[in-house]
Amino acid sequence: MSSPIADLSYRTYDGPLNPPSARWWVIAKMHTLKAFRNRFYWLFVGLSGWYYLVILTVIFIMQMVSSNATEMVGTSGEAANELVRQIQFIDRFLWKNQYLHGFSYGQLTYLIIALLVGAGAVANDNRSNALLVYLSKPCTKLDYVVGKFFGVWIPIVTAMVVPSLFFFLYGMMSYRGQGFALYAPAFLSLVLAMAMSAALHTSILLGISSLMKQGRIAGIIYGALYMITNIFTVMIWAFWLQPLGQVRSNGATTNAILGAEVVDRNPLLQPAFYGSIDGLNIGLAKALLNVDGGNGFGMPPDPAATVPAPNGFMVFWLMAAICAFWLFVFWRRVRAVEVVG
Amino acid sequence: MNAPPLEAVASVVNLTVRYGRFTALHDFSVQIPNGCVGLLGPNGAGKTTLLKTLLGFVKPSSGTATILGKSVLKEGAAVRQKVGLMPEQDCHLPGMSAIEFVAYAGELAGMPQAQALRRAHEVLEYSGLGEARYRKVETFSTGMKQRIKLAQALVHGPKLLLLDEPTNGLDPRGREEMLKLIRDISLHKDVNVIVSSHILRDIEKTCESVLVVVKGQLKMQGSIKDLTRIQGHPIDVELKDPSPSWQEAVSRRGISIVHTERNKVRVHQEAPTEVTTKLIFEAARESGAEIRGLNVATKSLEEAFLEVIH
Repeated sequence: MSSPIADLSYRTYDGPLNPPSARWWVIAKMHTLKAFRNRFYWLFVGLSGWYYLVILTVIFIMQMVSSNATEMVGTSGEAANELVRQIQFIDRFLWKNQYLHGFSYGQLTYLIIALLVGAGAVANDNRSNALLVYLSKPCTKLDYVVGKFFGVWIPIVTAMVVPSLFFFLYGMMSYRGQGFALYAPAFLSLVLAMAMSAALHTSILLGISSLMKQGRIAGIIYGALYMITNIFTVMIWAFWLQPLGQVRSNGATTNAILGAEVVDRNPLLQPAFYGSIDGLNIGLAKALLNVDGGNGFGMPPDPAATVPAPNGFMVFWLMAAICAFWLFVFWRRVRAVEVVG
Repeated sequence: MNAPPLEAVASVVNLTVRYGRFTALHDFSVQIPNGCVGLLGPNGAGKTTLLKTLLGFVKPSSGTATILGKSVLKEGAAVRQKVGLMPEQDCHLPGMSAIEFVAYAGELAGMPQAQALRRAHEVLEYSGLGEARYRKVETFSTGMKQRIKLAQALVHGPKLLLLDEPTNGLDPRGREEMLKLIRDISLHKDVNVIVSSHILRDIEKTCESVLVVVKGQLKMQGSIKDLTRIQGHPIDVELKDPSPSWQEAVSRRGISIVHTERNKVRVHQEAPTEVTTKLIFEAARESGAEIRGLNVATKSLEEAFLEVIH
């Protein structure tokens, strides 16, 4: 049999072997590269930054209009008013709010990316007895668990950070004069929130995946869990808005409502609003960015409708506890394997 | 703990492994010699547990085990770096081509990335999968899956290879090729091999010695030659034609006829084989019988195995 390899003689391998430690990195690297080679992954990474694209487009158009208005300000009173409105629009921007909005509006695509990268990470190994390959090599159970964790976490956190990083760099280049640089440290807070959010996705997904033999089933279960908890958040949101609607139907304005403190809500509504995977992610981002959110796309804020940021410390530890629980489930599922059937 | 003798690839001393109340291995001691060793035993005998323990998957209640001088209990990862496992079940990593899979197995074993890739090409060629190296493993036939399991076990150049039912699901030609590979690995590639198989003919064809495990204890250990030897060294004589006069002539010389099957006669005498052989030829000369073949009689491995376990 002809072969493109000239020397087909098999010899005993006597080359270098790294010491049997830190094998987790080999596993993490393999998973990460596999995700990075998937074109759908990059498609969704691009889609996850849609909010930033929209807001930058809006700002760009506003700036174009205001520059036209500047040229016409001497000739038209209307143009002067327009210019004032544009300047007010930009000035109204709380830049770190844009980080929050970018992160919040990307949640669905982050979920898809997490499913793409993590749903089959352990379930497929279970189906194909891949544990036999891992555990018969100098890999410990800890290497396997840590390697899988980082193999899923790195692609998810990369997907979250990349669009925000583009926004950050673009903002630093283009909107320094509009106060963007003042909020530069907030980008680090955003990255921290993203790291924890990716850890939450990763841990729950790996835990569920370790219980399954089909990646698709694991994905469906996680997707369902995510959506069901999200529906809960939407219901709480409806309860949150309910008194506001009643007061407004009497003709009160937002400022009047706030001033009169007429919005009487159950104190449990605010923490309950963050009682979903999505809610925890956004809640932590709000707490770390120290913003309450509000309307996106440069719309005027509506503080009365905005759910205030939760206690960041509480949210962090709650997320950490959830991560620990699901990683424990994963750990328990990695058992010494059958060698002979 | 006593150091194993130099010729022992693995040493197990007073090993007891329990699963709850069930004792899978009881005070088990064995010195596994270099070369190709067959692991035999009925289902539930403890073969699985022995392999699991040697790989460090199971913690024994008492006793110790060493492979290539390293403690399985204390240096599990270092031991596994020198051991390759070809499991019985299908095992692969979904979505990977053969070359990616084997190279990844090499990296997991500690090989630098470039070396692992180079070596993966080499072992895939050696295992007969050279032309399928870029195909996804899940599209492989059963025979190819067996071969890739062997390739991933070999990639890092282990000093000990554990093969679990290596010919499972193979057609006769594939089986012969696999046995030939195993034989070649153990004889010419400086790799010690432990083959666990229920197919005794496979063991007979590949191994020099066997371990028979029954009810968690080592029932017998030795070379296949010793195991299949019949006590008293009877001799099988094949005549050209059945010859009662030859039988009478050998009987007169004090040789007893054990059994006769047409022109094949098994004879026995409490004397060295050379003496008996000489008398057999004398009887043939006297009776005018023609001898076609003459062998020291042996049992089949299957017969020997059944004798040991009962």
